[in-house]
Amino acid sequence: MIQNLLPGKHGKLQLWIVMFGSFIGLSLVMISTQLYFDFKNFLTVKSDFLSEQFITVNKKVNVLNTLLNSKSTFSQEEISTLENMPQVKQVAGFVSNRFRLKTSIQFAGQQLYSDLFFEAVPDTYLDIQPNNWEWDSVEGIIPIILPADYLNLYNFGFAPGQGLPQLTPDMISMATLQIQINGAGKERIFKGKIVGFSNRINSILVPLDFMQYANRNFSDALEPEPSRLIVASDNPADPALMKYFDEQGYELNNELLKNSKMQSLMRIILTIVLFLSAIIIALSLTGFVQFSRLLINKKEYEIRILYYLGYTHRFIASKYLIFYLRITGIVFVLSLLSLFVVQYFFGDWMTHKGFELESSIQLEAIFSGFALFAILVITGAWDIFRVTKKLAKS
Amino acid sequence: MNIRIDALVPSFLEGKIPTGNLWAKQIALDDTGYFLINANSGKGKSTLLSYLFGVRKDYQGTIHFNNKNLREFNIDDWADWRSKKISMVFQELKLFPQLTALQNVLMKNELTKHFSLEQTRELFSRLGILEFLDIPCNRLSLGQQQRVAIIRALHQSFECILLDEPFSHLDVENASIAFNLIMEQCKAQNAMMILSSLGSNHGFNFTETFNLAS
Repeated sequence: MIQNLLPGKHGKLQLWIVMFGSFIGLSLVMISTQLYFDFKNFLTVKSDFLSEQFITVNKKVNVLNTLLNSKSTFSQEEISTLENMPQVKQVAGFVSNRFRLKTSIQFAGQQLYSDLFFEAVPDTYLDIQPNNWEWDSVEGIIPIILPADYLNLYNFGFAPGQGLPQLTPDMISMATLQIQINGAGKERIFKGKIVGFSNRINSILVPLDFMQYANRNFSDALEPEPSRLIVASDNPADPALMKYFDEQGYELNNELLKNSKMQSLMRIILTIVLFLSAIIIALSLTGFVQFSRLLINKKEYEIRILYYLGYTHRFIASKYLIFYLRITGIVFVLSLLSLFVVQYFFGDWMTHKGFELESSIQLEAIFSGFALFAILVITGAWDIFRVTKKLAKS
Repeated sequence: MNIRIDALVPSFLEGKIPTGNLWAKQIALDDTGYFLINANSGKGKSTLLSYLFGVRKDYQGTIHFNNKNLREFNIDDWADWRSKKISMVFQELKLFPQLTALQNVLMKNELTKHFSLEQTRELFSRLGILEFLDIPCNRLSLGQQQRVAIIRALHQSFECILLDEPFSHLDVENASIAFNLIMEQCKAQNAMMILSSLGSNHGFNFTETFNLAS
């Protein structure tokens, strides 16, 4: 019998607008969460995502520079200007060797010789911290970090063609190099151990304290200005920073930065989308609340009589709650469907464009939609109880 | 049940000297009494009954049901009392205009499960409105609506029934039939009756009569 009275008739158009608005809002949130996690898996490079990032900077080398013999090193002034940029947290110069350096290694039955160079940066700039990264002055053992690319180049480029075995980092760390250093009229033979491979820094690295020791002892030259810098920044793709680098004619290492740029672009787009959806959700929440209040107010006379007949406010509220759950539930299910549809077609399209995306629904996307649905329901239910209770008291 | 009224002064009498033998007096109404509230229009009959039904609270003094102050009743207490212990016929009837006579009554009976459909039809028949069962209330005459409201009020167990000028739109004969029906139910349930009237005692010898103005 009660269904003849409650929740009562409502304006169809108004309901459609509220439902459509919240459908758009919910779908946007879920789809953008989905895309965010799709791209995040795709773009994340090593451990750098969302943390401090490092870039190496050098001056451009071109014909003109070489002819004019203009400086390709960074002066103290240039370094401190860079250090004072708001986007920059720390800057350090690469320290190069000022002595002659020769290495030999017994490898696959052959003695290989090579001229070599070393560079050093403070330990805090390294992406790996091998446990034997200590220069042992007594035994004369120098730990060395190589670029991860070298190992890949050897394993996948050089070794197969030469019929040589592929190597793992563990195997390499067991080999000992002979390192011959001379300069300032002195000469000494050290041992070298490769202790790790760096993704971040494309150079042959030794501990800074060894470099300082060797430069002091095997060179008469003064410490030159660094030609490469390593820069720690929260957001190296920041446009202002980019512009500055460009104006100064600095060059940056690339791959990391491309991803970083895409990430910050993604972050901006996502923030805008989330902001928009937040507004839409807030509007549709108010829409829903207003709508259910309107329904209740239209039936104020009837609801009062039902209270006089002995009905509880919980009973009255439940009639509105069921209706409210039904319309928000429909919106949630439709939004979920739109997520699946978009994911299906978008995943296809991206695969055609050559992106290897995980073409599955992200749990986070469903969760974000469900969380908003829960907020919608809880707020609406709370308001319905509040309004019906107020009627019962008056 | 018993009702105790102590020094009750309605808001419209504040600062004035109350007259009659109810306002500002000490009154105890016991179990099976039949009480008549007598006064001309505008002296507070409906006001008093709406205090007793928990609809209005703009008074000084206290009203106790079974030694519990009405001011301490919460909305759940009232829902409980109104479905089991106290019933009311409103002067303004308070029917659902778009529902039929029967639906109006069933709206109460679905909550209380007090009468079978057969018994409900019997009550309609006794008050002479059986033929209007399925007519929407907004198409019934006031006299017919008044009888629907009376039948609805009887569709629950009660220890007290409040009747606010319940026969104002009925002729003497129909009023008498309705009065006898209500009295029958009161006796069957050992319930108290509080009836307000513009002066008529409907030919009944009430336990006590209260005048709201002298």
